[in-house]
Amino acid sequence: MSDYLPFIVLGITTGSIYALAAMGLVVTYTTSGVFNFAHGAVAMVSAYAYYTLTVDWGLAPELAVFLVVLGLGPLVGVIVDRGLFRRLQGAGSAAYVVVSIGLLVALQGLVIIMYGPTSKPVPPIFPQKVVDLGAVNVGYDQIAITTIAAGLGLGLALFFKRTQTGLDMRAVVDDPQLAELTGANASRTTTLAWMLGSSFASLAGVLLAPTLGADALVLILLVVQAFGAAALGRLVSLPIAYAGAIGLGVLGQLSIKWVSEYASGQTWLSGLPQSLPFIALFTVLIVSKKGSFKELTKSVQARSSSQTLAPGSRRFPAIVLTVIVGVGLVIPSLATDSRTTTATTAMAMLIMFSSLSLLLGLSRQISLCHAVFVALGATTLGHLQADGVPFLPALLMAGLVVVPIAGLLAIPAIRLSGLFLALATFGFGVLFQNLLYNTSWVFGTSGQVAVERPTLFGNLLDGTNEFYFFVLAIAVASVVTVELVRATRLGRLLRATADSNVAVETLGINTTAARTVVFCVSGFFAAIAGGLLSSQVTTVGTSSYSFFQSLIWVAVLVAAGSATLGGAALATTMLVAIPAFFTDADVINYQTMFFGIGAILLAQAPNGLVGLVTNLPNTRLWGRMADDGPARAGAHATRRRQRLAPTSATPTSVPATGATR
Amino acid sequence: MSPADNPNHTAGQIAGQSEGLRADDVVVKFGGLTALDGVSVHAPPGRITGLIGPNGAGKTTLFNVCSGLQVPAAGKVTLDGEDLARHSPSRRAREGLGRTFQRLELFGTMTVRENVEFGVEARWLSWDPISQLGLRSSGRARRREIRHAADEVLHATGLEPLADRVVGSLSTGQGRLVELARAMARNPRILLLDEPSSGLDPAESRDFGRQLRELVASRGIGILMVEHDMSLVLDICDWIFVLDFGKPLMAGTAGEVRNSPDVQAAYLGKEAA
Ligand SMILES: Nc1ncnc2c1ncn2[C@@H]1O[C@H](COP(=O)(O)OP(=O)(O)OP(=O)(O)O)[C@@H](O)[C@H]1O
Ligand SMILES: [Mg+2]
Repeated sequence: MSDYLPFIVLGITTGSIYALAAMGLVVTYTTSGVFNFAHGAVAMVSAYAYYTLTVDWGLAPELAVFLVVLGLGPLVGVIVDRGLFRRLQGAGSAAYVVVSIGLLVALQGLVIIMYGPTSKPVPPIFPQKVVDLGAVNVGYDQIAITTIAAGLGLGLALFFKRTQTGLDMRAVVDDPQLAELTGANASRTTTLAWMLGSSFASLAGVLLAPTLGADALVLILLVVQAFGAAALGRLVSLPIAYAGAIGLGVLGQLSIKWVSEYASGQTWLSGLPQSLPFIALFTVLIVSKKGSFKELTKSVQARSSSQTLAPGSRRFPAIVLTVIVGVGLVIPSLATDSRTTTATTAMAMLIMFSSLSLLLGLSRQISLCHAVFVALGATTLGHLQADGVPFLPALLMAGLVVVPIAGLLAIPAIRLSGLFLALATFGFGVLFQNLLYNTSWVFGTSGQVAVERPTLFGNLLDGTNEFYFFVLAIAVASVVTVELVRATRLGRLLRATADSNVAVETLGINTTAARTVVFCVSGFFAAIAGGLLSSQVTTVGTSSYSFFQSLIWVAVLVAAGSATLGGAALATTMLVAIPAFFTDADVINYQTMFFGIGAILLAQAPNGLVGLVTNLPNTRLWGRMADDGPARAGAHATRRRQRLAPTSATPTSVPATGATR
Repeated sequence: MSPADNPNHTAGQIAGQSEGLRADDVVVKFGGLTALDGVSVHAPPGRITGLIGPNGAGKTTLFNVCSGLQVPAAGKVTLDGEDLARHSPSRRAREGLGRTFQRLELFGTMTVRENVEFGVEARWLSWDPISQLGLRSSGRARRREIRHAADEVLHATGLEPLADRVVGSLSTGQGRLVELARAMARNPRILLLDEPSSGLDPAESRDFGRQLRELVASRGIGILMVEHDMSLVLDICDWIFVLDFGKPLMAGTAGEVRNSPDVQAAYLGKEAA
């Protein structure tokens, strides 16, 4: 038993930090209905601020913690609430997801611009002493963190039960407009919740910093572990989130011990400890009873469905395709070898973006794990080649291997709407990376897989131009297929499903098949893209396709335009061409930040930048991405509206209720 | 209260031959709230049945139970005698149950015509995935037929002038008409309408009532209609069910409902609250 004690103590400590983060998430989610994917980024920014205050400015750690947690945290909360989410009111849940992803990406970019990519050590907050409890030594910091989390958890519980503000917050959850009418200022209450939630994230970030250093990616990844704990409580229960976080923390530490003792040979298990929260997240989302995850996103204000997507964008984009092919054909004769290499990457990325746009733009389902498909396509291609399978069959098989995995994600895609699907794919992406990337059927322990160039008619395509044309041909074929899906009846069905799933269902169409197929098709082409990308550089490594890539891709595509081929082409250009022309290392970081900002600004636009340009004459912002059925938030929202509607439906009056949009 | 009790608009055509939609003793609970507490309604073909009640009475919830979007805690829904309990919303629709929504559920990125054509096309879908995906090729003749049928529906609903407008840009009243047209295009046997006239002015509303009557007379479908416009309800409904706080309050003809003190009290009480 005493062997286990140190692990348990450590588990409770880390669990307490996740608990703080998870409770922050729950507070903001329940009060504002917005799930903040950037919660971890708030923690990360706070850790860096703590670094600046202590190391650069020389403030005492206690004072720095105070300033960050009670100053910066709430400030970020106010900005995020008033500046970012408030203006989305009435938008569909997908817009909220995109904005918070954009924020996460932008903040990560910003922090790396300001502090560089390497981790910064920060001074400890608590005295570095231990208390000898006989069986185990417990650090002062561990005691302090556990006490703080437990105290704040209890405080929050009392706050929600006993204080007027707390009760108001719960009233806001229940019914924002009613709360407004009955005197609670819903808007102020929501902001307060954001300040509270955000300062909990800050606290988590600051408490993690001394052991981990201020490190952009690591902190984000750690704080998102809180998602799992929050999901256990369906994002709305504080006690379950707290208990879940502690439980997952302890289980995580224990599993470190178990894995090192009993299964050190199993490489894939080494990722188990960090994966537990994501296993919890993904499992809870896919096994919970249908409808038990209700979106709170306020679609109360009827959606402004003044969409302005040009009807032409639904036809087969012959002109854009011709331009792409035309430009594609002349590039090698005009450009230098290194530019042609860039163009090759671009063509492969075009396949990736076009596959992603099937989900994001057409069926408006957010996939936050596209990097997994791409990585898996690349590594499978490499493995098959190693077994002697020729390139083209191997590439095709790589695509097909991904199909059932993408199909697995169709389960949440069918069961869950906007936000929760995004969360499930996010959890899946991180899980896959942690648990399976270093297994031999993905990257292997070396984290690297060799991929060969194709051989056609006995010639190895090792020349830049030859390979370029090869990729161009596949890219055109892939893009044409994707566009055919978009332009045909399946495409129309998916668009209809995105507009209103219940309407489609109540017309007699079961949308399960369509939703499954679109995930499979999208995954297939993402894998093809991965194969081509890796074959170009003849290798593929773990670091190229971390979960964060998926988020960046979503941000870029939304900013560029997710509904048309033109958008995919612009996204490709922005992502691939800019760093090729501006080789300064900082460009990439600025790029990331601007993609994030772009996604935030254009989340509500019908088709990103491309949409803005093609619709310049009649610009009106479009308020609705993927939306939800009446059985879920719809009924909720209807109810809210109805209770508030003038109840003048006396037997003689004319139309009474406010069922207006 | 079989349709035979209620002779005035049924015109004797299909009514009585098939049962239509029947919900018996439906109970729905949302957490602590009992939204429906033993409610029964019956909507036979060839008749316009009204379902009224103050806000929050549970009318929309009952519609959701009928169309399969809400699983009831107890009770039974049948269509022509067949128990629908295990049927998905899409299967219920294929069996002839159509509906519109109080909070519009339109294909906002499509044109009015496309919305209607979608409804028409759905007539030919069966349960199998290939047809569900819309992958089964449809010949030129079929496409012409679809266009033609859509034209007819557009004409009947007076939506022709708006046919090429994107639905997202329409007013609520127009949107309701599109929903009705789309549901009609599917050729349902029983149609559930949730507050179809809200957003219309009194004249439009009367016009709309006339259209519904014609529809029922010409096609013999059954309509179950939730409506707050009492003059419209009393005017066109052959039979009316009244709910209050999830409980059945009464059922009867327009005259009976108009003169019922209980109904007056429910509405007036609600207003006083
Ligand atoms: N998804 C839901 N979750 C919780 N409560 C709900 C839900 N849907 C409806 N309710 C509640 O059930 C009751 C009945 O609602 P319903 O929408 O069926 O009323 P209604 O008769 O259609 O009212 P209105 O005339 O305003 O449309 C209301 O009190 C409502 O608040
Ligand atoms: Mg209703």
